[in-house]
Order: sequence, then structure tokens, then C-alpha cells
Amino acid sequence: MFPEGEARARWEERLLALYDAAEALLADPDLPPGARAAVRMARALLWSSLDGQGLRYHMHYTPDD
Amino acid sequence: MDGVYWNPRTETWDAESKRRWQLHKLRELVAWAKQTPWWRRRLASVEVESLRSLDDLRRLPFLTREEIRQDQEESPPYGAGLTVDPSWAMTRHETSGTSGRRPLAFLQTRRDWYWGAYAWAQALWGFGLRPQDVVYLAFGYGPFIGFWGAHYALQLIGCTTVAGGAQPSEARVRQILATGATALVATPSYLFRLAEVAQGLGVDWRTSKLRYLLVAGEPGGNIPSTRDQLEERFLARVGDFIGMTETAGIAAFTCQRARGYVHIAENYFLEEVIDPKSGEPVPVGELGERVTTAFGLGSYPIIRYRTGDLVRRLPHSGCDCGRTFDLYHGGILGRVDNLLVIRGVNVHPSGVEAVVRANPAVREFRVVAETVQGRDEIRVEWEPYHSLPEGQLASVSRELAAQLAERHEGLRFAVEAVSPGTLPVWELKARRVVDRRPPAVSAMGKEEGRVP
Repeated sequence: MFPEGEARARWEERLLALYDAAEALLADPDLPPGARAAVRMARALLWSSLDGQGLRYHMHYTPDD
Repeated sequence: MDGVYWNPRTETWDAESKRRWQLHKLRELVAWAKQTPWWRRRLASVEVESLRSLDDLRRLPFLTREEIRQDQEESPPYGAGLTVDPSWAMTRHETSGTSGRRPLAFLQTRRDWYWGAYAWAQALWGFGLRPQDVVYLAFGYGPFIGFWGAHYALQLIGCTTVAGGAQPSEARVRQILATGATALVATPSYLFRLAEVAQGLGVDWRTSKLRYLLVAGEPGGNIPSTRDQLEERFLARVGDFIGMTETAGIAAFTCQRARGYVHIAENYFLEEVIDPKSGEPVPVGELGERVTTAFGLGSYPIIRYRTGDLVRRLPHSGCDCGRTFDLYHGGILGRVDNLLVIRGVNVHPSGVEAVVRANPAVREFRVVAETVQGRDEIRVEWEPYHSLPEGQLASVSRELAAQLAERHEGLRFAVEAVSPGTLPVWELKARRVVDRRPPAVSAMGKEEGRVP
């Protein structure tokens, strides 16, 4: 997680929360294929955006990537 | 939304924040790579915990295109360096094959691909592209990665993309006008072709809505004579975007203020400049080979990859756009592998282009190096737009020979005019250098090769 200790704007917290919500949704085995496809795509885009903004970065792939 | 920066925090951060972030990403990347046997072998000497500063980067081995090629040949089709199951891939792309050898193939997962698209988007936004732009992409939409990244990035920004694949240049010219395109994506070589075709159709580009020319794949976007000619013909601003298949995203780009340099995307890439022979870093401002580490590619990690591009790095203070990304002065200044050393004089094809393109009579050109009676010679063949009288052809040839010699320590260039239509027209990466000398002499770093 980066940057630690820095005050974040409210939108940054929300963006991070959105990413976490996508992660949680993908962990649900009952998520239908259409919804799963949308969340997978959304998570990839959020991951890229968070990275570009220096908010979060983990090199960690799963089959859902 | 019309901020100057795509990623305001990371494009303007201070040196310490940048360093911390890059180190964090480097460690993550190395840790990820080391989960597979091939990478564990390659990086055996370095533990992730021992990477404590960016100086430790130098303890990691260089990765070369030859190594990847060998890996893909031994473990086809994608090599043992692939860290994910191929079924995880969202896209598959190839290198351009301009080296004359079998292209390398790379898979990209969703994260890889959108990471690359975001790096492209940061660059395109930085150059001035906005959601209201209509962008015409004049390329073949084939397996070569060139411009695919731009296509996705433009859609991320919200631009309207117009796919100009698989059709003749005349049709493309008409579409560009009919769609009201405000930006055009192509190689510099192909833009010259479009300019010429439009002229044949009686189209004056300067009355079109085009404002931006986005070029990549060749160094022309930062060769002053090439850039200026394109800007004059299209009455649009040229932006240079530097990337490669292996890294998917854009590593350096023209910002709205830039003239004669590009910013390094230091939030996506860790870039080094080294002496191609010794592998040691060169001082700031000196010519050397670009070595890149792509932070967001996990499927086939790119760590300390020797690009073969020759660059000159300068501090970010050379630009007043506010970004704290360092600069490559003049963009890509040449290639380690197509630097021609002729009788001890270094000849960069981009240096020849800078001279030749400045002459309005020249439509296309080619550089030929050969050994004649045991001596290296260099010849430049140039093609006029249309037939010219012999006397005029000879006069242009003499003029070019003198200018080329002046730029190259008095080296004698044989300059010859060829008939219109003789030389090939390029849509993607142009191959304008023909080296007919024995390999041991022509390759950089062997026998006569030296770094300027």
C-alpha cells in the first residue's frame, strides 16, 4: 500500500473500496458468468488506474485476471 | 474533466516518493517472477528482501531479446518465462519482424493489457487528447502490437476511435475527412504516404479538422526535419510515443509543451541508460542504450530489458509542464543494432533521415552499407516525387552528399537518385537500412563497432 501515512482524498478511499468490492464479488462462486465478466473487466481497469495514481500496487494474478 | 495530468499525483511527485514507489513495484515484480522455475534460475543471485534501494537494481541480470527468443524456441510458443496459464490471456501480440527473423509472441492478461493501455492513455492525455477527439488509426490491425495499445487507450480516454485497417490509402484519406477526425495515428513514413495520396486526390490537409498526429514505431516524430515537414503538410502537431511489443505500454511521450524531447513515464517504467559495451550506467546527458523494467507486466516479466534504443537522458527540469518525469532529448536517437560504423565514423539512420527529409525534392530514401574492394562504403538512394531532369537530380544528390559529409566528420556518401516508385512504401515500421557487409563488421560491438 502506498503512500502510507498520507491523507487521502475521499475519492481515493472510494476508489480503493470499489476495487475491494470487485475482489469480494469475484470470490463469490455463485456470481453468474455475465456479471463475473463485467467485474473482472472492472477490476482490471481499477487495478491499472490505482497503480497509475500511486494508490495501490500488487503484482498478484489469479485465473480471474 | 480537463486536467493537465492523467495521474496528477504520480506525474508530479517528488523524487523521494517516486523512488519509494519504484522500489516497491520492483520488489513486487521480482517476487512475482521468482514463483516460476525459469525466473528463479535467472534471478537466483538476488533475494527480494535484499532489494533495498534502486541501486540494487544493478544486481539483477539484463534480459535480452535473444534470451526471450531462445526461451520461446526451447519452450514454444511463449517460453518458460511465461508465469501464467496461457488461458488467462486476454490478447496475443507479436513483434514487428523488422529484424527479418521470426517475430516473438507475447500474451497479455487483462491486467497486463489495461496496465499498458493506461500507460498509453497517460501519454495521449499528456499530449492533449481529450474525449471530444475523433481519432483515425491508419494501420492494419494485424498481429503486430503497434497502435493496438493506442486504440484501447483512446477509448479509455473517451475519444471516438475510427479503425482504418485493411484498405487503400485513398479510402483512408476520404474517411479521415468524412469522419472529421481531429487526430491521426500512423508511423511517420505512412503519414508521408498519406500526404502524397491526398495531394493526388486534390485534398489539402490544412483545411481538415486534424490537430494532432500521433506517431510511433520510428524515430521520425523527434527528427526535426521529418517532424516539421509533417506538421507543415497536415497543419497539425506531431507527438512522439515510444513503446515496444515486449512492454505493451508507452514508456516515453511528448507532452503539450515538448519540442525535441519526450518524458519518461517513470510511474510505469524504470528506465536506465547504459554503455552498450560495458553495461555500466552512462552519466546524465550522454548517449547510451535504454534498458527498461515494465512494472505492470506479470505474464512475461520484463526486468532490465535491453531495448537496443539509443537515448540521451536529461533531468525533468528541461520541461516546464510540471511533470517530474525525466526526459529523453531527441527521443530515440538510433538503434544499437543499426548503427553503421563506416571507416570509424558512426552513422545513425536517423541522422541520415534528418538531412534527407529536409530536402523538399526527396520522397523516399534508403541507406545501403557495403564492402567494396575490402573497404566499407555507404550509399544513400533517394527517390523524387516525380521525374526530374538529370541535371536537377544530380544537383540534389550533390547537395545531399555535402550535407551528409558535413554531419558525419567528412565521411564520403555516395548519393544516387532512383526512379519514382522504386523504393518501398511503409505502413508500419520502415526498414530503410540495408547492410550488405560481412556480419562481423556491421554489428555494433563487434570489431569496428564503438559507442560514440
